[in-house]
Amino acid sequence: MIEKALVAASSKPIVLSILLGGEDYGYQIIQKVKEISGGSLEWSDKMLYPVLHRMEKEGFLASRWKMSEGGRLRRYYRITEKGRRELDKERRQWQSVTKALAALWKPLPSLD
Amino acid sequence: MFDLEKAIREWKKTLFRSQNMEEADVAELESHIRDETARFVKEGFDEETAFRKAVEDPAAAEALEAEYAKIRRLRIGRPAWHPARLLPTFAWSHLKIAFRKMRKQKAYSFINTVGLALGITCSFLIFYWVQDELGYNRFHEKADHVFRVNKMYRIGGETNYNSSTPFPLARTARESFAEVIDATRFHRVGALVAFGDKVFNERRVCAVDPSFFRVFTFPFIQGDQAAASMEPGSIVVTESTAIKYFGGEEPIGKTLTLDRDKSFTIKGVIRDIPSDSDLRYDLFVPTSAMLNQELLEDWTGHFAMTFVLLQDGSVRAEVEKKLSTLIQERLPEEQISLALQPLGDIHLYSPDGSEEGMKYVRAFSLVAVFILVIACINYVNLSTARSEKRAKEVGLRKVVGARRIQIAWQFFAESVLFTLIALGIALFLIQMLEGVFRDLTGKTLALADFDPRLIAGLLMITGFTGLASGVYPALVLSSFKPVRAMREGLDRPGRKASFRKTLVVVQVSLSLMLLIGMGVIEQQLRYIRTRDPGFDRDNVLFMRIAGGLQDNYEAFKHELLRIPAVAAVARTFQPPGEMSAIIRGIRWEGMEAGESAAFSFIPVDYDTLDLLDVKVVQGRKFSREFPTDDSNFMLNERAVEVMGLKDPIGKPFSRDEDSPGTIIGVVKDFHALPLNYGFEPALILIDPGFYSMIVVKIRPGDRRRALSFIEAAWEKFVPGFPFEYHFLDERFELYYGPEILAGKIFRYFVLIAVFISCLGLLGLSAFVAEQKTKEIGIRKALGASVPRVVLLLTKQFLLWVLLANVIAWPVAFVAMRSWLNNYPFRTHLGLPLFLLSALAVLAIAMLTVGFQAVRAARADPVDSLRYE
Repeated sequence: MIEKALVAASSKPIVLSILLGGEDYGYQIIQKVKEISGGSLEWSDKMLYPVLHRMEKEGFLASRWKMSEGGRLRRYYRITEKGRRELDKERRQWQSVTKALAALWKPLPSLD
Repeated sequence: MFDLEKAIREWKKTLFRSQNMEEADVAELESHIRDETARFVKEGFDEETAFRKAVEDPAAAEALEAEYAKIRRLRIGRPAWHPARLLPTFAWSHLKIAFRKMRKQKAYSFINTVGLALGITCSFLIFYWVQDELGYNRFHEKADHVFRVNKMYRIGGETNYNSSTPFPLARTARESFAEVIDATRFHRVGALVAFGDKVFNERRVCAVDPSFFRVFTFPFIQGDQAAASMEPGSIVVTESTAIKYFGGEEPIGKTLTLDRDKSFTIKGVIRDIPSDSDLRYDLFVPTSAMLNQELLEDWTGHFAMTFVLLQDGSVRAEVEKKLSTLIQERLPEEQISLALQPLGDIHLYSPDGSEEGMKYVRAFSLVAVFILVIACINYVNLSTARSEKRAKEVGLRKVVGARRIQIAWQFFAESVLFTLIALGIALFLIQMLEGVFRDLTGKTLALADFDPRLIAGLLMITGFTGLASGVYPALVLSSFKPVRAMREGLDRPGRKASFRKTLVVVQVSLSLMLLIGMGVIEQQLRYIRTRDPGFDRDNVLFMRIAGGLQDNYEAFKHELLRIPAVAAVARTFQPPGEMSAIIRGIRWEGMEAGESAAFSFIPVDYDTLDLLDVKVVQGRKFSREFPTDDSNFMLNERAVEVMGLKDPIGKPFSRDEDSPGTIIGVVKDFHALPLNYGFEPALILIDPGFYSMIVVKIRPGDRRRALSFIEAAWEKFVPGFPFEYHFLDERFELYYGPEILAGKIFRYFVLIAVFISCLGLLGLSAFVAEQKTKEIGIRKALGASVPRVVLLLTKQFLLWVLLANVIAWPVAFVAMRSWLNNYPFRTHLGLPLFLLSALAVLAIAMLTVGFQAVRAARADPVDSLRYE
């Protein structure tokens, strides 16, 4: 399990990256996250919605209501230009963090 | 049997209970739940279990709701659904409401707008006046680096200052000191200027060096600066002078004759001197042409004004030190030093650094602020006083969901609207008063030119007014608790009401201070105008000796004395009030070596002191019966005091080694200069070389008839010279012109300030009377008389006025004492004036308030009690 704070911090770049692949609705996004992280990134399912709304309010996402094939009304989200820029920024930040950590952890002490 | 649809409906209900969830959020979550349920069903769960798994536990739901709440509070910029607007949200509707309120409360709106409009108008006019005064002489391109050389010297026991310097100073300073890039000296002369048959006695002729046009910025419109290098025989005139003499003809190359015998060719025409210049001349001639070479090289005669242009970055104090050393080397006998005064300061500050015009700039600025504050207090008081009426409105607005800030904005919008309307009226008033303002101050107020400084000033004043009057009412009115306001409809009588009282007291005390100030200024002006100057100034006229009069004086005098209206004729150097000449190097016994003093220098004729009726306190006046009197001296009392003489009569005295004489008399101190100057030690002597004025005393009666006879005699003796004369009393008034004018302007503004205060009191008393309608009704029904009721209504105002007196008196006393300290001869700062001002304010306040009170008291109680 990943700690709550880290989940919260990573949710923005994850959502943005997923939406880079195209418009999607909340439930699908949640499924994709589970799929990609192999279940280790466990969000309390519906907690994604406030996150999505917040990001929309900040202008990184745009949404619209659309009738799906099953006759169900769904809210689809897509990434905006501002969102792409934000993702770039996030990506650089995360990369530098992982790079730093990788450098620190590279020579893993041999245990045997 | 489990019904999924019913379960979802139930679940949705719980969600809707939260005020943070919107319909769209619920719909989205519903779609999520349905997807999730479908998935669990597919995985093999029954529908009910699947649904339960999908909705999760209540704790998670709560956490979710908290998240939604956070987003709802998150406000980033303008909401997406709202188009961008020039005005903040709701501003338009606020203004609309404000406008409706204004229409509903006509009297109140009238008082507020008129008060604010008058406030803005006055402060703007004062602001403009102050701006203009402060901007004097700053149009010169090098103004920041140009300094006037002032002289500091000892007269009697005191240090005095003036700006008269020796002619060679400018040249020597330029040649000796690297810091002095350029220097110029000039001297004002008078001359009879003729072109053909056009002859004028020009007073504003200036003898200048070529450097004059380098140091100062007076742009040429014809002939360039090279042409106007002031070579001998050349002259430069202003545009309107050129028109005066040549009409539309080409002025360049024309010849003007000065004093009948000197010819000058016009080499250049400069643009008319701007009104904000202290150097105001019409004709410029080379120094060498008007003054003799000897004088121009003389270090002892101080007749020039000297200005220096300093190198950027040079230290003023150092240059002052060098200049002082320079003059001390040339005049080792005297205690003189030189100081530099920035060109921009010479209009408002005297050479000694005292605040000549600055005191009015300060006083007027203060008045402007006072007026604005008084107008703003009116607004604040009236709008918070009326808050009772608005309490219900505020309560209702809050109940239907208005937030405090929105209500505050609405009231603020109201004050902005008032201010804007006031600004409109003010603009109109300013436009109307333009002519009056010009006549009064000589300053042209061109609002239509859109001078950015003026616009900025106007906006600043309006902005201040809007803010100062709007913020407090907005905060107070928006703070009402809805329940309280709706039920009681009352403003708590505590803190806010006492704040209002404080403001009224402040307002009344400001008015009172202004009234006292006005009284003191008027009293002082009357004092300096009516104080006995120590000589007779009634029916005395003087004229400049012209043409051949110097040689024919005795015959001319004889001719004048034959006129029955003429009582006496005499000569003098300068007329009283303008006796500014100074003689330096005076020494007497008991002085240390190297020490000397400067005295006021008054050359007179044998009969001058008699004509002017100057009183002798010791000894006698000059008389032709004593042949040696032309080398004897008279002193004034001040001189005797300074010299420490016990028994002056008969003591030897000399102005220099060549002219030994004795002191034959002491005159009572008289005002040789306007009363802005103190008594200076004076040396009075007979010296025909200096006579330049003829003084004539005429008998009381028909001045015009007497003048026509004198003019006829003048024509007979010096035909062709314009007959120009001045009456001493009129001339004296002229000296005080600027002071009288400033006093007059001050009076107008003070009266307006008091009027605005009255408006406020009127509004407030009307409000109080209205508030107490029922109380009055009951009291009257129970038998109270009209006077009692009036007293009930007026007594708190009475108390406020009294309290205002307590504040205003000490402040006004200190302020006005320091004001009077500007004058060497000052009126007494007495109790009567304070009492009178207090009475005036009390009377005005009582009239204003009483009017309302009587109206309320006389109302029929039946009407007021039947209400409801």
